Amino acid sequence: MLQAINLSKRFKTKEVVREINMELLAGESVGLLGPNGAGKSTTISMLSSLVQPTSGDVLWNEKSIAKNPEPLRKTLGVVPQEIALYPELSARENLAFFGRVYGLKGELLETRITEVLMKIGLTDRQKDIVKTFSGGMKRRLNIGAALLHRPSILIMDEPTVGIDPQSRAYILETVKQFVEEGMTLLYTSHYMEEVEMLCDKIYIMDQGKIIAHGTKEELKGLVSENQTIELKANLLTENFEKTLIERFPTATLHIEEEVLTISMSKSEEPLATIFAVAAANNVVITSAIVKVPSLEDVFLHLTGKALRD
Amino acid sequence: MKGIWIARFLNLKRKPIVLIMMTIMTLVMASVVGGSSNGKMSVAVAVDDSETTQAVLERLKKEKGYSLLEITEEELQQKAKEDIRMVGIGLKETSYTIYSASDSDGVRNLSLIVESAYRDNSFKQQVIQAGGDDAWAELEVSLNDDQAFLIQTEAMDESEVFRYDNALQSLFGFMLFFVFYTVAINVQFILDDKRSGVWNRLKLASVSRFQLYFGHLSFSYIIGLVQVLLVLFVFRYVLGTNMYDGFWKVVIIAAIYVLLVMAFSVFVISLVKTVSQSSIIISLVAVAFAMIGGAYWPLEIVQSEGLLAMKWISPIYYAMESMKRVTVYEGTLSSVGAYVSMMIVIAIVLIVVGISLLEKRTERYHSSE
Repeated sequence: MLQAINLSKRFKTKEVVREINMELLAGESVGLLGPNGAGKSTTISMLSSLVQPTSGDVLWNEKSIAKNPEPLRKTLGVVPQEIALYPELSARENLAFFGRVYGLKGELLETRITEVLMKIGLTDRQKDIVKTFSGGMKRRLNIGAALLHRPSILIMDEPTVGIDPQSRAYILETVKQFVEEGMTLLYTSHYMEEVEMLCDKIYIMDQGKIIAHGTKEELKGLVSENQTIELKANLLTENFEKTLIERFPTATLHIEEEVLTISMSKSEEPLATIFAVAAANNVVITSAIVKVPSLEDVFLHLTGKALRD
Repeated sequence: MKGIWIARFLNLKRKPIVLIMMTIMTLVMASVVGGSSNGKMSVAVAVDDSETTQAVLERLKKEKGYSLLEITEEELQQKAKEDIRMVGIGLKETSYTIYSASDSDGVRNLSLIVESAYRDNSFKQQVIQAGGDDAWAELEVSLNDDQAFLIQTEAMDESEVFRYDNALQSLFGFMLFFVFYTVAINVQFILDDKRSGVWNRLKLASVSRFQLYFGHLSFSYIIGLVQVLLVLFVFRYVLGTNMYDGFWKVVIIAAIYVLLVMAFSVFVISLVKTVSQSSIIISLVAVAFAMIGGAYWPLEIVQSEGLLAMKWISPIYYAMESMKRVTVYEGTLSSVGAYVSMMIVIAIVLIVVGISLLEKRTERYHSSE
């Protein structure tokens, strides 16, 4: 089990991580979300023993990694946000290099390289120079380089940034497979649907703090007291709107062209009433969408919509 | 560390252009500017059949600083008309003519040697005429054994003596200048690895910081050393450049200089964020150091006090001075001990400061998310 206990990091006067507590259980897939500058990469760096915390501690199997990070490092694979590869070397040469630094050699190294190349779908391009690769291929190889020593924990820092949808889908499927095989995963991304697809538990960070955490459902519960119903209708009349307000006094209504948006308490079941009122007012409803909050809604609800430049 | 070496070697194999270009540039520039000579003045000599001219020619052959080309009188006349750079001598029994478009120190020295050879030969003939060959043999022995006075030569304070060898000036200057780029570009791989995340990957694989720095720096050092050795060997053993028996001393100084350049490059990359920033600084600084360090021209001809005062900050100055002193000034390694010690001390300080700053910067990379 990997645990962060009251973890803080200060760079000169700037406190980038503030007393965060996290835990990553064996076989769990955990997402770490946060806007730019939230402190995600610093947190990952501290969790992976690359950066020493200013205060607090990281425990691996209940032992601090501050003085002895070796046991953690042996079982840890980190996929950094950057393409941490040698562009002048071939895919196979890169993997051989990183495998060798993990102490692999001879036939074992060759077997692992072949295995990893198959996993990341680069067997056919193994002899090609990395700088000739597309962004997606580089990202896949970047993941491959972290898998050679068969880590039991994989930390991925935005592994799908700037790549085409096909490569992204391939990477997500591959990571999903790792999770299904029982690998422990800590995943950060700006793409909410990726975290939603891969992770059981999510931590949301902002301004160096963990502002919320829990399962997807628990987090969605934070913003799901209200529901939103979007109606498309012909001949929206003032009377129709007025009647709806009378029927749902706590709801807020907003009309824009032929779309009526109603926001109200989740406890109400309004669709039957809305259709009845519509029929009484000769309003023809062409579509009705009841919106359930997404992870993105949760994220924006918690972190706000203001730009973080 | 072995892994870093393999990766760097493979990288060099794929992109050898810097090493090749810098080596070729050194060879070409030093050859062109230094005149690709072996440190000797080429002199065309035409002699007649007299004993006197043969004796003068033999005397000239014994002089170290001249490379003689024997041609006929007609050829000499023709060459003098066609080649403005030619230096030639027409030796006759009772006179000689020097052909030269310029009145340089070399030509004046040549004239003095020839004149002295004629005078000595005339004295010898007079003695032989008066007392026969035996008298000359006897006199020669007594002249050698009982010298009326002994000439003892001793160098003045080295700073007051100016000896100049154009071939070596160009060779050392361009060699020290171009290897600056080779080493600096190689050291920049540290910055590249830090920026790309490879550095952190290696740290996570439990490669120690010492191994990381030592792997990169030792490889950069060896590449720089290979370049200077290649250049020195080509000039000494292929082109036959005269190094005044100081070849191995030059090699030792070059090895220490490469260490200094490597340390300086570490310091530069510790001050910048990107490889392109580092490249700009290295380009500017290398040229400035070459100018104030005496790589392009001997500092003895520099008049500006300000420029001369700045020479102490240039790594090239220490190496250039040391190399000149162990060659053209025929000094020993201990005579350049102060320069060599300075190079070693500065190298150590720059490496320590550079690596400390780089380590602080590594932390800052994590804060720049």
